[in-house]
Amino acid sequence: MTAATEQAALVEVDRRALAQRMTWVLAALLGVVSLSSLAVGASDASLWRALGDLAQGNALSTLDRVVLVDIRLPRLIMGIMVGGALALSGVMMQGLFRNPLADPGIVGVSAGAGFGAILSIVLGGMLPVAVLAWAGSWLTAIAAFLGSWISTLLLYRVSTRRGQTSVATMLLAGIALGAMTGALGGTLVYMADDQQLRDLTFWGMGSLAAATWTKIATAAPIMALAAVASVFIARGLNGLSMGEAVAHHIGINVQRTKNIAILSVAAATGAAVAVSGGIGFIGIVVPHLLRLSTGPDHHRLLPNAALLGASLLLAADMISRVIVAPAELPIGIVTAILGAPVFLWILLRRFGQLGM
Amino acid sequence: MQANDIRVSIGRKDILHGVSFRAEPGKVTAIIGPNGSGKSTLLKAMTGEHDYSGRITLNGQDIRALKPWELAALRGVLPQAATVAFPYTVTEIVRMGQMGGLAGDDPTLPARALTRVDLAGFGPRFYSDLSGGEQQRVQLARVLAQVWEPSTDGQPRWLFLDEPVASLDIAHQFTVLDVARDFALAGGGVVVVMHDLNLTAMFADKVTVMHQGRIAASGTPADTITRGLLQDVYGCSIDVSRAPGKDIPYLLPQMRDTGVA
Repeated sequence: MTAATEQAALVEVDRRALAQRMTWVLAALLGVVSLSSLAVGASDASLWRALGDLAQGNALSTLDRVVLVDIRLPRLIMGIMVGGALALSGVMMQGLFRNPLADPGIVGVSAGAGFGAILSIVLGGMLPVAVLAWAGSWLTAIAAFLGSWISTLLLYRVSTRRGQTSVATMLLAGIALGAMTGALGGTLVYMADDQQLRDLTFWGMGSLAAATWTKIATAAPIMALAAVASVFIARGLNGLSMGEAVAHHIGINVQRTKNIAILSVAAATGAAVAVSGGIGFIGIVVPHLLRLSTGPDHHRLLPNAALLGASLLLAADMISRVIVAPAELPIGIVTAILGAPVFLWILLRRFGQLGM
Repeated sequence: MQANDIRVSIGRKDILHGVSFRAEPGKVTAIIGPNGSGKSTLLKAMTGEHDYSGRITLNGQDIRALKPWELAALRGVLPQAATVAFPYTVTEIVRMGQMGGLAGDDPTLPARALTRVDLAGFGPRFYSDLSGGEQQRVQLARVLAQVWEPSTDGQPRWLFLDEPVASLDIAHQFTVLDVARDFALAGGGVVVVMHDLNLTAMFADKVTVMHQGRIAASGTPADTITRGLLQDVYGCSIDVSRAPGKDIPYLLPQMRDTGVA
């Protein structure tokens, strides 16, 4: 073995304590990024002036109120939700597939959610009125959830045999899945009328620009459920990283862990895609950075990833707002430019290792 | 630990045809037999990995009725090989076993378990940087951390080991089998699938021989590891001797009778 001649890498510290401190650092970071996100923008509105007004008991100027409360604040909250949900989805999916390359955007789960969303926008009007009345503004979110759930289930069935996931099969099946849902979605777009096309275009831009309080109210409960569920499978995901058999040996209900993981990934990804379109690579970059710095233990990895994912997406959103101001770059472009090299880097580093 | 009339089919192929097996606490029970005889399948049925028909009890309790975490408190399982997906350190791996058992969160336990398998000081290293034999011993330490006390309140704990010495050098084969025997001496039960007949004869109190999905023989090493068994089960013609001064059978592969003078 060549490894014996090299200096062995050592982790002398207890990474549990390190990861716990990281939680506080990331929470502070999210606070700073959130304030910046409120302060930065194309208009002349000023967060500081508004805060000053509030402190002195004055009413906000109309400009400050509209820009800060009606535009930037919902955008900020949706950025936190979507970034956190995407990073959480990434962690859970990677734990489920036992592989750091599994990401909802890369293996077609986001595409499945997108197809569900398109389906609801184009064909939703054909549903019985009672169903429409019941679903209301949730229709797109529910359809996106169903789309991502079916995609995740399919992908897991195809790429996992006897508890072992083939990475090659997973990535290739993801490409096929993405192509298929893309084609079906394209067919629907072709059939869409003018108003639907307008809706689709806004939705598909992959942006936080369309953030509204209604969308937040729709997506928040779904994402919150997924986040709470993730807490309960942290130990299960740790166990799964040694394979299903060993996970069972150390006392984990493997089937339940997998079911919760698949449902939570579908819920978080579906809700994120429904309100923000396809934003890629958050789910792969964030968990990878955290595993490098504080280790793969899911108890801390999950909450830390949610925090860092939120910060990263807010930062990407700020870049997308100012880099071509007063116009906006779609945020998906920014996250792809940041994330694609990281994906390649992981891929190249792992070539030739076990599991490829 | 008792298994009655165990049948296992994988696909349409019947692997075990009604096997009944018994292991007692305080003893090392070895399962031997040729490749494909159903040893590992029997072990996997007993650890709940394979579906089976029949009844398997552990400390008198039907294992089907036990939840995964209740089973984990009763028995640890060492698989033939285990890959680990993410960059965990050795200590973190051992701790995963510890959290599955009843030992609680004693921070000194991983280091003690690693010392038992001759890996003292390996805790801070990355699992993936270790050699195959070292990884195998980390897994054993993980299993030990799960069932650290071989017996509590008169309730024995169990070790199920699937070819634990397959990838080890001779010194560490002894290390690992000493761990198994000490566990049994302290009141725990050990069920171990073995290939090496000489080591089996040295360390096992009881041997069960599997052949074509059935039990071919069962008894002490001296009763089971015989010329007749080697002929019938393995199809090898080879004499079995007795170690001087001990009632331990041994065989020299060099003494194989090839039929050529």
